Order: sequence, then C-alpha cells, then structure tokens
Amino acid sequence: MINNLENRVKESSESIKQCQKEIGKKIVGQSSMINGMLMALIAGGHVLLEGVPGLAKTLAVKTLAEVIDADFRRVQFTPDLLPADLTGSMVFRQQTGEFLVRKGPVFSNVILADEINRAPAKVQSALLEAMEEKQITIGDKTHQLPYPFFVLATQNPIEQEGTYPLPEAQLDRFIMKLLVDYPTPEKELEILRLMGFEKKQKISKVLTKDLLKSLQETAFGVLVDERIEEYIVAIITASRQKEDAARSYTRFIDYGASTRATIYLYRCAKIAALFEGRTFVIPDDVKSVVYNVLRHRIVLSYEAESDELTSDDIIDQILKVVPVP
Amino acid sequence: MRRFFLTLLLFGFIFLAMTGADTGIAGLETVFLPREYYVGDKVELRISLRIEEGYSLQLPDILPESTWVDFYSIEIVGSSKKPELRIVFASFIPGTRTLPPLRFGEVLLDTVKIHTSSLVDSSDVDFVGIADQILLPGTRIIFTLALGGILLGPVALLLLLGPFRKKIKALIEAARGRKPFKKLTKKLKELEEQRESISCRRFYIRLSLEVREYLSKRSSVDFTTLTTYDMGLALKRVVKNDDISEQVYKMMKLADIIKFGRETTNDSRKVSDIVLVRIMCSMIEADAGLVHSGRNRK
Repeated sequence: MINNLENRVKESSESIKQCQKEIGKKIVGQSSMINGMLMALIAGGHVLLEGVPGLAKTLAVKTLAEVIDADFRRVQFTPDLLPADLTGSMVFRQQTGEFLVRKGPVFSNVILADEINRAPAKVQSALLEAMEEKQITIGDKTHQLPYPFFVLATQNPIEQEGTYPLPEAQLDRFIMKLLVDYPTPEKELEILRLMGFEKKQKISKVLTKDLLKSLQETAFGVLVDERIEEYIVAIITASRQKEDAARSYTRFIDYGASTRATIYLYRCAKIAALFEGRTFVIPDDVKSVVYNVLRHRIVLSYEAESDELTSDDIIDQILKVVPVP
Repeated sequence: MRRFFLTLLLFGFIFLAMTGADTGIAGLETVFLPREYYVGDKVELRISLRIEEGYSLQLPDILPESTWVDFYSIEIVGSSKKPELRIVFASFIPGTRTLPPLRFGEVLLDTVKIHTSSLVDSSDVDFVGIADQILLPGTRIIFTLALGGILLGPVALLLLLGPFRKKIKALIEAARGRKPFKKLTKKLKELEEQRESISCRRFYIRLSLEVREYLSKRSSVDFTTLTTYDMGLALKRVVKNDDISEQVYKMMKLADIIKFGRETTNDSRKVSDIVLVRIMCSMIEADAGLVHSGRNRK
C-alpha cells in the first residue's frame, strides 16, 4: 500500500515538475506564484493574485491554461460589468419563439478574473458564488460548471480609487492569496533575454484532466500524522487568540483565520509534500504554504495598520510561538 | 401738701436703695488657684478686699451651703483695712456663675463670679473616631529597631560578604549555566537505556525535542518553534563546526521521516545519533566557556 503510494507520489511529482518546466518556458522566475497556482489547481481551490502591473500575472495564468488541456477565458472586471455578463442569461430567439440559455464566460475551465476589485459587489458575488458551489442558475435551470473549474483573480495593490475591495467573507473563498513581487536582477536579465523579442514559445498540454484527477487522488492519499494535524490547528487557533499578554501579536488581530483556513491549510500541506515527492507531510510543508493560505484570512487591527504591519508579519509572529512537533 | 409727700416718698426710696445696696466693699481683686479648674476640683479663691470706713469683717459661724458648690474652708488673712479672704470650694456645674452671697459680718460678698471649666468639650462637634491603641512606653522604639533590622539587615549582610559576593554570583551563574547540559545529558542517558523498549518513532520524538530545548536555552533562537529546514540554517550559527551542524541537520531530517512517515531505523543508528548530539553539545558548551565534570560525559 505504502509502496503503491510511493510510486504514485513519485509519478505525480514528475508530472508536476513537467508542468513547472512547461510554464518556465514562458515565465522566468516567479516560481512561488507558479507553484501556488498549481497547488490551488490540485487542491480544487481558487487563487487571488496580487501584484503591481507588469509582473506577468496574466501571462502566468494564460500559460497555466495552456499547460492544462482546458478552456480558458479572461474577463476584464470593470465598474459597468453585470452579473449576467459573467454567468450568462436567457436570450429570446425570434425565429423559434423560445428563450435559449446563453452561457457566460464562467462556463470555462480556467477563468482569469482580471482586476476583480474594479467590478461592483454584485458581480464579485456572482463569481464567488460560482466558485463555491461550482454551479450556475440561469432562469429556472441550474447548470453544473465544467471540471476543472479554476478561477484566478487578480488585483492591483495600487490605484485603489474607484475600486470595490473584496469583503473578508468573499476573500475567504480563495484557497490562496499569492503576492507577486518584482523578480531579482538576475531573473530580470533572464526575462530580458527571453522576452526582448517577441517569439512564440510552444507550450505542451502536459496536464490533462485525467492527470489532474490522478494528482488530486494522490494528494488525498498523502499521510498526515496526528501531530501535524495538531500543529495545523495550533497555528489557526493561535491566530484567534484575543488579548493574550504572553502573545504580543494578538493586539494586531481583529479576526483570526476561519475553519475553512484549517481545511485549506491541511490540503495545501499535503500538496506541498507531493511537490517534494514525499508520501507524508512534515512541518516544513505546513510552513511553506501557511503564508499563502492565511494572509487574506487574518483581519488586522487598526494598531497593526498604524504600525505598518502586514498579515505576513503577524503570521511570522504566530509561527514563532507555536511549537513544532 | 401733696407735693411734699411725693418728695418725701422719693427721698425715702433713694435712702432705702442706698442703704440696701451698701455691701461695705470698696473694691476687690480675685485670684483663683489654680487659674483653670474643672468640675469637682478643689479651688482656692483669694479675694483682696478694700473695706469701707466703719466696716469690719467677721468669719461666718457656719460654712454656707449650696446645691452646686461645696465650701471647704474660709479664712481671713492680712490687715483689717486690706484683708484677704481665702475661700476653698469645689464647683459642680461648668460655666460662669456667681458664687452664692457670703456674709462676713457687716460685709456682704455677692458679686464674685467663678468660671468652672468642663473636661467634656461642649462645642457642637461630631463623634470622633476610636483613638489609637495606647502602647506601652518603648514599644515604638522596639518596632523601629525591628523594621530597621529587617530593611538594613540584608544590606549589612551584603556589605559584610562583599568580598565573596562576586564569587557567589559566579557560582550561581555557573550552576544555572550547567543546567541545560545536565538535563540533556540525563535525558540522553535515559533514551539510550530505553532505546530498545520504546518505539523508533517515540525515540526520535523525544530526541528531537530534547535537542530543540537544549539549543533554545543555549542560544537566543527558540528552536522549539523552528521547522527542520529553519533549524538547519540556525544550527550553522550556533554550532561552529559545519560538519557537525550538517550531521545534526541530517539527523533531524531523519527524525522527521521517522516521526511523520512511519519509517524505522536500526539500533546502531539510534546510538550514533545520541553520540552525535553529545558531541554537538560538548562543542557548544566548550564555545560558551562552560567546563563540565567528566562524570556527565560518556
């Protein structure tokens, strides 16, 4: 049984490396973002990408969609976008005198919701509802969304005027929030040499739907010791502590991470182990995903904002007080 | 006629008034001994008299009686022209009152006022609180000396032990400094003895925990909250020997595999890992300048 799992993990790890390699043909560096996107895809969740313009967020999503043998749609979120523009609507056909369903871009495998915070709350809600339930109701009929259904939403940390920030309850539906940072000078040089002239890179569709399903099943089988489970719960509960003098960070948190965060942290830790070709989870796996999973789920207090502390700083402090098994 | 009677009546009244008011005293001065007295106190009243011509003083046969004042004695001293009366009395009513009329033959003394003070404050005041406990004489001094002894005693002791203070401090610090190593040595010994009786997983859980706790006490880094990867980085700063730090890091990685991956290892590996931990600790202790007696080492 263990040997079987070992073999499957080994194969899965190879497949993941193959995907990373294919994406790496177009995207130089940003390995954290690419790994995060692949992890979320395997975990069956959705990703929120945040970074300043021009850091290959959209390109990365497009490339990922190319690697997956799946449909890809991009929706530019604007203030005048309507929910029906996203989900679809009933259209009257004069010739037959019938109402027909016209499916929106949400009926795709990979959706890039570009600048999600530029659309009003009702449009955001329509998308987030689809993300959660994986189905859409148009008229009186409910339509299942295709498998895989993977939403990558991007938002820009600058130019906040006229935006509609996602409420905490909706942010919680994203399995991860990935921060896209500037590449290192070495990587920047590599990008320059690769992309200085527009040339077409052929990307192979190495991640089929069947392979994705197999990766998900293998990830599900990765062993998690009870001490690791307790470690995960300890991290989450530490984020919820209130006014604890021994834990100075508690004053910086208004609301801690949800139970959904516990589940997602558990799933992502398993996938992180799979990425490493391991059949079991170790504390390092938990730590490698904890920032991406928790950063949008911890609501900071006014005190934290006045001290210019970020969620990542608070997660750092949490990890410094939770003993490792 | 009528006028004559009226004039006669007027003069008659004046005469009667003048004769009735005549006490025979031209002047008097009073002195009270003591000057202030209270209800029930015996007081001597000395009255210096100036008698009018033709009057003489006579002691009364019996002492006068009154409801509020007791007379104990009355004496007449001095010359007949400037006599002095000495009246010993005790008043039982506080306040200012006139003594009852005292007749000394032809002379009547009825204008002497006395003021009897009261021990009870008669002013309109609220109840006062309970007074402090009355202490025996010398109690305060004993208390002060005892308090001084308690406060200054340790200081005096420190001053007396001044020359040994540094040595005592060094000994305490050395004992504290040795504590983590002693504890680890004891635990390693226990683990070595129990390595065959406890499961491999249990063995490495305890070994990694002891190593983490020891390193936390020996450095400013809390190793108990570090993952194995982070520990590998931190070990390089704590253990000066790269080879040993690398070996310990590998041991911790193996511990993770055994703890979380349900793998096992053989007995010789367990022994070599204990030896490795001992070597690492000895190096850290030597770097910290802590010398340990040989009995703690294996």
